[in-house]
Amino acid sequence: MKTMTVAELASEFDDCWDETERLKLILELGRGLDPLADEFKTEENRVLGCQSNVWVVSNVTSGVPERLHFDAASDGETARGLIAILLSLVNDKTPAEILALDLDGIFKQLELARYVTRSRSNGLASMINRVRDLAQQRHLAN
Amino acid sequence: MSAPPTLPLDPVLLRADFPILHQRVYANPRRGNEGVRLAYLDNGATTQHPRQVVQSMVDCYERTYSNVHRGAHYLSAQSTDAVNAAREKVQRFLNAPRAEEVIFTRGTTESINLVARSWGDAFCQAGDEIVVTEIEHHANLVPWQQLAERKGVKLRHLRLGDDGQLDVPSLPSLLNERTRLVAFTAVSNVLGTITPVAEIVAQAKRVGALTLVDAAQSVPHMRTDVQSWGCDFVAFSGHKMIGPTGVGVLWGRYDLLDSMPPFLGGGGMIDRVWLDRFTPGELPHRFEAGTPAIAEIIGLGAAIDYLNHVGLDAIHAYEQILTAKAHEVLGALPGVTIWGPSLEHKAGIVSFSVADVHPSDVANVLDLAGIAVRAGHHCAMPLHDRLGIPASTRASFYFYNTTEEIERLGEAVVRAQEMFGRKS
Repeated sequence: MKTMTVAELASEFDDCWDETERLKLILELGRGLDPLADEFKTEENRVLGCQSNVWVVSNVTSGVPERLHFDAASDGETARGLIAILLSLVNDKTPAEILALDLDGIFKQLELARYVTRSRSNGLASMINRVRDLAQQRHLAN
Repeated sequence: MSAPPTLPLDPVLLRADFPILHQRVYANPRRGNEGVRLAYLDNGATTQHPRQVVQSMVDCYERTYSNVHRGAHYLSAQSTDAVNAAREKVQRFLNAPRAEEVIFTRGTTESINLVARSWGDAFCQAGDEIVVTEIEHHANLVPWQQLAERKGVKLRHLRLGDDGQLDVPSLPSLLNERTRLVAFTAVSNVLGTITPVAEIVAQAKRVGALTLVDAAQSVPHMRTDVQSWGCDFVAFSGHKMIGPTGVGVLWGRYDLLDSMPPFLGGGGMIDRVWLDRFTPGELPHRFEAGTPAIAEIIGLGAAIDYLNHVGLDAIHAYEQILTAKAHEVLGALPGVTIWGPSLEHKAGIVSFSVADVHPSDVANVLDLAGIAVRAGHHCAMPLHDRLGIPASTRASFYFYNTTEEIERLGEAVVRAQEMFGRKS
């Protein structure tokens, strides 16, 4: 899945008239998510706090400065769309750049705040925490 | 053309007492989008409040509020009278022999934990057995698992039959002279199954076992008579019966409660305290340490007044109509599986699965259509294991719901099927 800027995402979501249109766009973005091999769908990679199963893994890319590339999967389609949006915002950035992002604020700007606050059903808040944790671990390791 | 059947109650009239139900959600004025009408079908989780209940609590705070049983002054006497009056309302609501048998707790969960801690620790020994069922809410499973760990008690399980009902014929094989307690729900919070309470109690009595009924999903919806049930304990919550959160009830037989040690220690529950010891107080105060939820207890009393005014028989009869409507609407949709027993054994709870659509996705589309349902395991993971599914979507009804809301539920499920699933 390609990396998207906040402006690009905002422009796409701005064309949605209502929440259903917005959901359709979320699902469409989810369909662009690169598949994750089943071997990575482990308990360790599973994000707790999501009603559907969500798995997130991170890899360090070669080159200086090092960047993080995330892959993810979910058995729920809404959750898959949300994780796809999240990854499009953070993928191939440095850990420091990821940690500097106000991800909650960005989802609010995209008018997707309901998916952050309703964390128990879609788990976006847990996904954000997992991505930040992985970036933080890498940041501290450097 | 035949006339429409007369309903047992008038939901439109009653809805006027519930301001929260009259709203549109997901409006977006910036885009000129007025949103969608709310249909609240999550009553198994918690119910909404009529003005009368809210007003009773406002009246308490504005006019009579003070601590109970303690201060020797006018307001304290008023507060004490109000709490006592609420206790008597609960007593009559349950057809309980004595008001002192009504213990105010924070809710069903605390009521069950009270019995597990107080009665369980005092009267259960290693090798004793407790029977629970496969369809219990975690609140009626975990406290017994904890007791089993503390005391070496063995848990045995009454299974769910393939017909969505408890396998009561197999109960005698689970009972013996070591059985101390049978703890079971009167209505399944997932399947809506109405269990045969009096029959289970009679079987338990044959081996001298006590019975605890988790009545959280039954007391709000149908007439309760603890004497005709013949059970020993009943637990339920205020917030599932148009009452406030933070208040619930444990009812127990007087002589049994009177034999049990206090659960929580503190003010209000004692007879006499010295520096090194205490003697416990009388019922019900022995089990009500600390300042109770005074305004909430008064609110629960007002909720009971309201339910009595509507009539529990009318509520149950009307919910049967809503449940039948839900079976008709959802049952007509290809790919939808309704869990649980046939209609005659079912209360106003309908859990279902939609083929190839994750329950969280179903709930999301329903939510966007203004329809509030719950998706997940509904605090009954072992039951979902038994059904072989990780989660389900649950619509649960109360007397203020309408058949039109259930039609909208069906339309939203179709929309979920259109948006998800059936692709490869």
